[in-house]
Amino acid sequence: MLISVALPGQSPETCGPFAPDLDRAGVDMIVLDGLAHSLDPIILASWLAPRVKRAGLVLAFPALYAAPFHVARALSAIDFMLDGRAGWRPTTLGHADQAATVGTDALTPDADVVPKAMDFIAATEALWDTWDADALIIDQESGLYLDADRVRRIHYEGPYFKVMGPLNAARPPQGYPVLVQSDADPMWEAAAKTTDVLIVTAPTPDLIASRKAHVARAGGQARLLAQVAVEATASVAELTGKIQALSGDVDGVHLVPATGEAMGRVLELIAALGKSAGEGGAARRLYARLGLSAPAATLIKKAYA
Amino acid sequence: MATTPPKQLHLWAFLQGIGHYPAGWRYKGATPKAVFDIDYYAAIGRLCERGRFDAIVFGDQLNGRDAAGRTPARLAIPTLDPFTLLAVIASTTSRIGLVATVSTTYNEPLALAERFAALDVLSGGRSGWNIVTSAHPATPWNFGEQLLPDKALRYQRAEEFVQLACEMWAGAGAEGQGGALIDHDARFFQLKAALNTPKLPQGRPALVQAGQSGDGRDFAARTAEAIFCPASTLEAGKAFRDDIRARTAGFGRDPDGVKIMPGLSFVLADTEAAAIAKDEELLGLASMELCIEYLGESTGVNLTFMKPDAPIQLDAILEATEFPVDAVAPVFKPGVEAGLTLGEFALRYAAKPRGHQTFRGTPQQLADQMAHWIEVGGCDGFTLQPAYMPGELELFVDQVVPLLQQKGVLRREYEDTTLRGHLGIRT
Repeated sequence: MLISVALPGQSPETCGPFAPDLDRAGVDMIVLDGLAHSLDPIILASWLAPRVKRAGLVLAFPALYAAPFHVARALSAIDFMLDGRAGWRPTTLGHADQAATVGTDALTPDADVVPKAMDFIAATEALWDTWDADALIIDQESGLYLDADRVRRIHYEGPYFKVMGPLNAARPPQGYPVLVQSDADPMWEAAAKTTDVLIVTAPTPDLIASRKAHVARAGGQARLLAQVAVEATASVAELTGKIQALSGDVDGVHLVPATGEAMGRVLELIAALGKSAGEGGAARRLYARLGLSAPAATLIKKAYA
Repeated sequence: MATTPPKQLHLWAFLQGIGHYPAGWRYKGATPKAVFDIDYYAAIGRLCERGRFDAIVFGDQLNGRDAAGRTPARLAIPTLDPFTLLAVIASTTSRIGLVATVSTTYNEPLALAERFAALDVLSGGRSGWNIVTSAHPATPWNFGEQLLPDKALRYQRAEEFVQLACEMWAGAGAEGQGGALIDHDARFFQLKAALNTPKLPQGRPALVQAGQSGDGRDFAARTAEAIFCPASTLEAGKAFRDDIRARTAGFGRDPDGVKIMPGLSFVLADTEAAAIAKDEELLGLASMELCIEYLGESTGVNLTFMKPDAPIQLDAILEATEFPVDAVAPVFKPGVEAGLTLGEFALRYAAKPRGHQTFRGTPQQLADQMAHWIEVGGCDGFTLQPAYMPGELELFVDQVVPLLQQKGVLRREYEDTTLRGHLGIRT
């Protein structure tokens, strides 16, 4: 059973200890939800990276108001620092509130929200595609640092974003970071084909079945996680029972501690579900940990102009 | 009779990828593969703290490192996003300042303010912003645009940007709210935003700039707390420092509130002769092919198609370049006038990093020179530019730092926990 946990805490004093605690407990993914935190997810993830040795780290990004170039570069760096354990969650949630913060007439019209978010993903992926996986040579003797034939401009031009490339950063070790989506986000259906992890926020049997069917129709490989809120006063036994009842239908759970105080319960619950830290050996890349051969989006051949 | 302690110098490490010499990555003391490894950054952070440096600075660009579509095969590209690296170093250190080079031209104020706020909060007040504008013609192409704004406009946008960011930082952590709401409606930015982060331990990041031109010097004198510059001679350094201090005073600021930190490129060995030989060896690693690639990258044209042993084909170059012709022609002019081949000119142009003289000598000689510069007002400190990493920086920390400490010009222990504190700013 896969276990993902949303990281609570707004300050180094809380995030700092929680992340390694979760890592040691053997969770598969730690999720930084940009909306819930008051600290920028890129900086927070990078700061956590030395403290999270095995789990994946997933960052949420606003998909409508960020520049693909900045995001592509930052995620490349984070995936390197995590040695192939980064995930990303482009999101349109809360975008109306964000709009005025980037420009008072920046609000994306409703009809454009999902298409623009999909274009954001495509443009960012196009930038990672400007480097092949084996471009780096780094041979001091010959003086060849990289294979120039394996780095290129991409001339990406979508309906909303236009980027030339090449990125001034190498392709992430995973190819692309693992793509995570939440079904609370209107973009999830359009993204289903290349989503690697889909969080089902109201995991009734009907909704789980419906999400699974949609992913299958889209030709996707997404792992489904049932979202479960954990209060500080929760009964671990009750939650364990509830989760085990679901476990046939989903691939795992995404635990959301209501507050920092709920973390104790979360750790108990993780242990009760039989999770423990990996048995020695190198940490696996996040997609491998999820049971995938590669991030779904990397398996699709893209045509660029 | 009481003696006043000698004036203290500040040390910053400007870590450009794998070092400042284009072929430095090939040297035996370099570890080019390590730059993709998290442990390398933890080690660099500890090294610089051991050296009692004020800060580590990472440079950055927002353009592809290609010359008209072909990425150099022999230069140490790519760049890892500096914010990521600095946050990693923040996590594994407790005192060293963390300065990110970030452009105001292709960034947005709130996003930038949030990023620095996070770095400052997570590091306990050690963030710094090296404020730059984007000048590379290819940069707009990665942001959906065709042309760079002209220079004057870039500076004006930068001024408004910095002012707005400072307002946001000042409003962060406002009691009981998610930060003070800033309603900004001016020439470049119209937005309503609150910086919903905890209050920054330093109040705001340390502001740093490299301001050479007239406009740049004024901008720096108005806003910067530390300034980079080239200083090829002591006289040039002193002249620049005096000029900036005068401008700073003219804007009503205390000149001591601005630290002038010229670049210092260095190659160290047990004797001066050995240092010179080492430098020659380092420079010799820059093959003609590398130099031609470097020259092409700097001038927006893929020169690898041209014959290296033929004269410079200036017309063909100017036709092929993606950069403005009047920026490119002057670069080649000296080579054309001297009748050099493309390869010969490229070697001269590219093998040495431009703008700085390289000190070549013993640790004692370097320590003496540095102390002398400080004493006579040539600068307030130095921005170290190691030719390659990490070996040359390790030599500096192991051998030069103790000498500076013995002279009493460098702290033996940190007294402050914030970067602005290390800079001597007390607000």
